Amino acid sequence: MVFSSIFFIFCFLPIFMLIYYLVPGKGKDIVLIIGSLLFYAWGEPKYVILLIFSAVFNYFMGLELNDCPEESRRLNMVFTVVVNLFILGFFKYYAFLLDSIGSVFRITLSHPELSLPIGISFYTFKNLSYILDVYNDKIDPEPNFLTFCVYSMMFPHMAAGPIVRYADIEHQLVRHPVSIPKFGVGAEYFIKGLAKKVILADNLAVIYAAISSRGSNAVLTAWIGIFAYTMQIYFDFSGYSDMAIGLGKMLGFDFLKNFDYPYLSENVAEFWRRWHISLGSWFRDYIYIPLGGNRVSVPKHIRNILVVWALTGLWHGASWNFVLWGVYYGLLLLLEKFVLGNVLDSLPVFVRRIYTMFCVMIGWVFFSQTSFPGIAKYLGTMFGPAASGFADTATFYYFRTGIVLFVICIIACRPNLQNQFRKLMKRNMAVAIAIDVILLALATAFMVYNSYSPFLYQQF
Amino acid sequence: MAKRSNKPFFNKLGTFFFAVILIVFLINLILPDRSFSDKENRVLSSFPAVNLAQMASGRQEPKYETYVNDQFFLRDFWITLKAGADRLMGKVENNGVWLCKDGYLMENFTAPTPDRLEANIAAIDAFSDRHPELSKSMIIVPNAVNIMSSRLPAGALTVDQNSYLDEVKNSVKEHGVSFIDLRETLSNHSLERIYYKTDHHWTTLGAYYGYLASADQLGLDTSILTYDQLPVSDSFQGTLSAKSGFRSGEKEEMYVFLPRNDTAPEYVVNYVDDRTRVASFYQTDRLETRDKYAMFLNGNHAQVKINTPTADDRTLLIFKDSYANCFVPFLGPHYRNIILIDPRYYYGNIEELIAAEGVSEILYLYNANTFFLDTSLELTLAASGEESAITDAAESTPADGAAAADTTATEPSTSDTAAEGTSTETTEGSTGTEGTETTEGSTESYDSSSDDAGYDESYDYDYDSSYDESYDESYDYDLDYDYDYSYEEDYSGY
Repeated sequence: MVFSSIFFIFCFLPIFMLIYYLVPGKGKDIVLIIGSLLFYAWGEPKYVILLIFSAVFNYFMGLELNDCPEESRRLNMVFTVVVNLFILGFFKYYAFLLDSIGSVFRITLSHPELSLPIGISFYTFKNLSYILDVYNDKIDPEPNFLTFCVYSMMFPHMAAGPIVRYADIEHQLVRHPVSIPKFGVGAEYFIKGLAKKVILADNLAVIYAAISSRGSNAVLTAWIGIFAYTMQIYFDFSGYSDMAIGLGKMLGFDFLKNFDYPYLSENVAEFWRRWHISLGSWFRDYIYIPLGGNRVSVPKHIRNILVVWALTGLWHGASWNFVLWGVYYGLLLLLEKFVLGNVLDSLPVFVRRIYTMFCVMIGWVFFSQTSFPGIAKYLGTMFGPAASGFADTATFYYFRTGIVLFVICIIACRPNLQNQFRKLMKRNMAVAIAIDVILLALATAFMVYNSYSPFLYQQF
Repeated sequence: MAKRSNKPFFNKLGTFFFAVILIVFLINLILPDRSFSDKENRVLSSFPAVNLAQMASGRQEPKYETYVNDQFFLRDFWITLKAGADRLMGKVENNGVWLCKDGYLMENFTAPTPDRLEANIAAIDAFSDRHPELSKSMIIVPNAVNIMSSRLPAGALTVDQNSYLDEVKNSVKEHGVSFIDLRETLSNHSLERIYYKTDHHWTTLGAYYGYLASADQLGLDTSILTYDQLPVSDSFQGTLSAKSGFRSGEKEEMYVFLPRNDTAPEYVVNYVDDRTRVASFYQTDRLETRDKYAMFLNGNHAQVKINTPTADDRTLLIFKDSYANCFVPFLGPHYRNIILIDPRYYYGNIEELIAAEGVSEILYLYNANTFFLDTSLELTLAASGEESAITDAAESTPADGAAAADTTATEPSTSDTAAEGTSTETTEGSTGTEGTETTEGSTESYDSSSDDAGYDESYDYDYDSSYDESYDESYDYDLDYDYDYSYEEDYSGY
């Protein structure tokens, strides 16, 4: 199930919430687990077994790590991590690995076509963070199986993040009271996230898809296209995170924010502190720092950065373009760290923002075009050599039909709009409510019309 | 001053949101299901049976989602709202339909894949080579997006039909097919109402010009009849407004051309598939439905035979789509027998038909949008043993019917953007599930056309009133319009 569907919002959610609110005490956890399993199994029941296995396995290994003798702890940890990664690797990277090996040795390795289990990257990383935190004595293992299942399987952040850490919601797992105002906060997040997704992102997607599927483009058309994609992926993913956070609030949980206006960043390093925060911090805490982080020699530091970013790229999808995308960011970060740092600091803010957005938009070319020829062609169009000209009627057409949406997006990716709305909540409640009603109605209209549009991030 | 809190806001919003999702859910539960959407002109999905095996495979769930979407309360309102939001945001294209000047909506042209084009041409050429004895003609009617391209929104990006038309023209000519090119004629009349503003069809006026322009090549003496133009409806809402949501409240006029009474021959129109004979090309009760274009030859049928007592002993076989429906009445007086075959619904053996009926002439009559994406003409023309296998596959057992329709329907959906929605309906129509299961293919809730609905409906129609063995001589145009003005007068203003 996806959040931005009529079925989820007007069938699953009311029934689930009604039961969840009516059932008292610990019964809520059981309702939540059953609801989450239904949510997950809907449309692809077979992989629910993986989800359950992952929860059961990590629950017991967490306890085992705590109880086992000191000398076998490390082995247990390694074993648990390997099993988790093996499952992830088998379903997500198996075909990619065989195809890559095959192309190196110029042979064809046949393999079954496995569909990617929804959210496997997210729940695997979530469970890994739990295991590693237990191993590092940052947290005590969860003794209650039901409670662990709530952490591991609850539907708001199961399918597409954020990658919530056990440490962050440890106390909430024990006690997560619900209330009407808190439900209202959740609704506020949810409606805004839904609007971002179906009103902005889905319409932007049409523009980029139309432009990138054209045989040849003018320079400006390609820039319009990648601008639309840049906005699309932000509103799609941050909208999804907002919906997840909102649903969490409705259930009584507070998740940390996953996006912090990343397109206002003044350098690439800052961008990655503001974009998909739960993933960036995961790689930082569980890979970069264990590798030594920046407290090592310069060559090792460079190695650490490149390893972390290659893996970050690969996490986004089993395809070389994602690795390239990750390495591109690794190199940019190195460049900023060792070369550009002081130069950037001396520039005015708007120049730094333009620099950052330029780097980010180039990055999205690697991300959106899955083949190397596709990347080369799109970049070639953006910078001239492969372009059919500087601008043409298509440029005009996409500009004219997209401009309203683009302006809305530029306004909406800055905090100002939200700050105004916060003031409005207090000063003129009726207007604020009316705005939310309109957004929900519009989003409903778009969902009824589109019937079904899967999330970009659903398959990661 | 006390700091104001946002708690009242969240209190209200929380209550509101919870109430809304619950009430909407209950409304949807209580409201009776609609079986058909007039606005979208398609059958809406009904509640899917609970089937645990299907659920376990994950195949059943999308059907529930489609069902909930289709039956969502005020569905038409939401779609109108969405289209309004689109226009505010400056969108000029929706679902492959352009919002054009002068009130026109035009369907985008989807270019065929090279393979598709090659396959269609090859099938026609092979058929031509097999039948040197038949005189063969082809009319591929260019669409509004081609003829009226000056009305497209500024900068609209469309694929040019002309290169594809030329390719077909050049290829079939070499195999003895006379290609009747209407592009120049229609372009000359592009300021007139030769296409509907809200529908993907050409108007009867457009068809009339087409008829005049093809007379020479078809060998027709157009002077034998004089036509009067007669309005039959002023509330036609075509498929394009439904498909795009643009101008969804707009209604337009619909005309037919009738021969002056003294010149009119008598016709018998025989709808072979539902064993109905009528004495008219026009099914006026269709004007009471949304799909008013179906008044022409009662929509699309697999096979229709038209007999006219003419002196000329010519038998014409037409492979056609719905563009032919308003064109064929003009051909009526010139042929003793006309057989219309719509390959999308026809599963018979074409060679046997040609032999049995003594066919002397062949006409392909399509619109470009449908023709270039069509997959069924190729199969019909192949006509060896192949088509029986196709029939078998389509006529699977009723128990598997839903699943068969489901699986087959998903395949062509990629090439299914044309107004005629080609092969999806073909499969469904032949599984014997129409009426109940016809919605299986429409996972995209809003992607249908007039023709499939017309086809479905044709089975439900009660012909008792119109079917009369001893039909009288007069036409049954029981319309309250005056007959008195001629075509020239009416169109002077255009």
